[in-house]
Amino acid sequence: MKLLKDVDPRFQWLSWRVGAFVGSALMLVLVVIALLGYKQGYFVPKNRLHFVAENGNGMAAGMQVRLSGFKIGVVDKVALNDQAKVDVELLIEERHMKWIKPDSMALMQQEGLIGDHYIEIAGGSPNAKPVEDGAKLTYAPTLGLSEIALDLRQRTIPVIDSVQSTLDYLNDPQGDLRGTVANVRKLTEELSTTRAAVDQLLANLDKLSAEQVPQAVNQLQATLQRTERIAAEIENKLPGVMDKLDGTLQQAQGAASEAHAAASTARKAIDEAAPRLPSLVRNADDLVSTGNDMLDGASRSWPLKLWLTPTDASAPVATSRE
Amino acid sequence: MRIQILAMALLLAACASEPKVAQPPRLAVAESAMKAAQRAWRAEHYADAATSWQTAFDAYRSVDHWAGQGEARLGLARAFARQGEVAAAGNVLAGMPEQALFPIALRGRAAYQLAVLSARTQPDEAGRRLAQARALCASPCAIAAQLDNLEARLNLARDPALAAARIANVLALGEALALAERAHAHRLQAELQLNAGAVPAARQALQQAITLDKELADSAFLADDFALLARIARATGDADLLLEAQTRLASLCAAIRVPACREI
Repeated sequence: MKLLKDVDPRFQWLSWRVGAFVGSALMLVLVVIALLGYKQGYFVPKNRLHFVAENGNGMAAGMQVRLSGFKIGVVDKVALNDQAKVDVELLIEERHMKWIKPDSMALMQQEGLIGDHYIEIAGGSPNAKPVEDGAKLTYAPTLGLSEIALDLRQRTIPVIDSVQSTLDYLNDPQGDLRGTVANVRKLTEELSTTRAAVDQLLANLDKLSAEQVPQAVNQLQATLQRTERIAAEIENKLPGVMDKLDGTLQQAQGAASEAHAAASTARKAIDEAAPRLPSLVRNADDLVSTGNDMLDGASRSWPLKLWLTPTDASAPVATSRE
Repeated sequence: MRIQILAMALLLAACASEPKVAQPPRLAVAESAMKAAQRAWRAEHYADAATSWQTAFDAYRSVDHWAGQGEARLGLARAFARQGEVAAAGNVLAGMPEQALFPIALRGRAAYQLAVLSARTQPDEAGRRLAQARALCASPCAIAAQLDNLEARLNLARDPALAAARIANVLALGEALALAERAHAHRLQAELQLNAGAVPAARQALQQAITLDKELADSAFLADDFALLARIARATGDADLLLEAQTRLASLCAAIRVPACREI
């Protein structure tokens, strides 16, 4: 027997009605969670790709992966490997895998000057087959201005060293080239002396008496023999000189071509960097201006306005002592 | 509970903060440049301050804002003067005291700054500008102490009595006066008394000036004080004091070049 009896019709089916209300609220929460999860891509099938980067600056799990500016996945894991390089694993939505080719590159990019970093998948041959799940991509680190400058320095310094060593070699007084030139000069001087002697002999020939002729002929013969000997010596040494000269010239030519290549690289780097400089300066200017505005704004807010003296906009009064 | 406290703090901050004032872009640029110039001036980056005041001057001039461009011109002249470009500072201020479109207080300040600029090399011109500044400075004059000090400085040798009267005027203002002007008045008093042969009184007055200038931490003023201290030491034949003054001046001048360093 019931001691209490609900006679009020509002309490009829009360437990059922409460149950239905709580149940529908729970259902609503579950639907919202499911919708959010769907929106976040939790229920979209994904494939795993990875690449190895030299360093992990700016990389973090959860970073967006984009293709042509659209989000196609996220960075799942960033870890240091045994070679002190960085293994990066990406989760890419399956429906976007068809755009990623074996020769596609992964690049680290940034939104604006101070925006978030993200991984951009770029390139790839249009006719190539898409990569499979677990494939490895090539990571191309993007160069900042400091890296460009460092790269340029690394390329230029060996060229300068090479040119310097070539010049040192050419200028070395004990070196082959200067020694060879000195030898050639000496031989040339000897030839001149011989030629002068022959000229003198010929000039005196008219004045020779019959007895002196054989003696003069002997002298002439000796001189000619000496001339032949010197000429043979020159003939022997000249190929060597020419070879060394040729080698030196080749070395100089190599250094010049390296210098030319370095100059081209430098020009390319400057061409790449130069158009960005005005916008960088403008952006920096805007940043400073925005920072100042923010500071001014903050200094007008409570409680900072109690602690900070707002900047006066008027010019300071000159002291009578200046 | 924590959320409630945060919300309360946010609400308090919002209520206690000044409302945002929307300004036309030109005026915003001008005001921002004036503030940037002030910051650079305080950091002793006078070239940067000159650039910012020039920007503010152009921006105010482009919207026919005479009060703003007057302030910017005064600042620009000061920045040039601090960099030793006295002629450029004079050019910036030329015609300003005579131009009726500027607020009269700024015209008075311009005449006063022109007087300060010519005080070293052209005392007569400085005197003329000083008289112009006095005529333009409405009562109560905001730069009365500066004008008195400058007049005393110009008349130290010519009219010591007038100089003494002006210094007394300035010192009578006491603590209410700007520290730099109070220090200058003591320094002028010291020089006046040295000229009159009252060396102990001169030394005492200069000591007060040095104390105030140390509080101000202005290198040029301190160097000027030490140069005068050396003169007092020579007048008394006090070798120890002379050595101390010269050592202090040399140490200061090793760190920064100011006009008084020429006396080393």
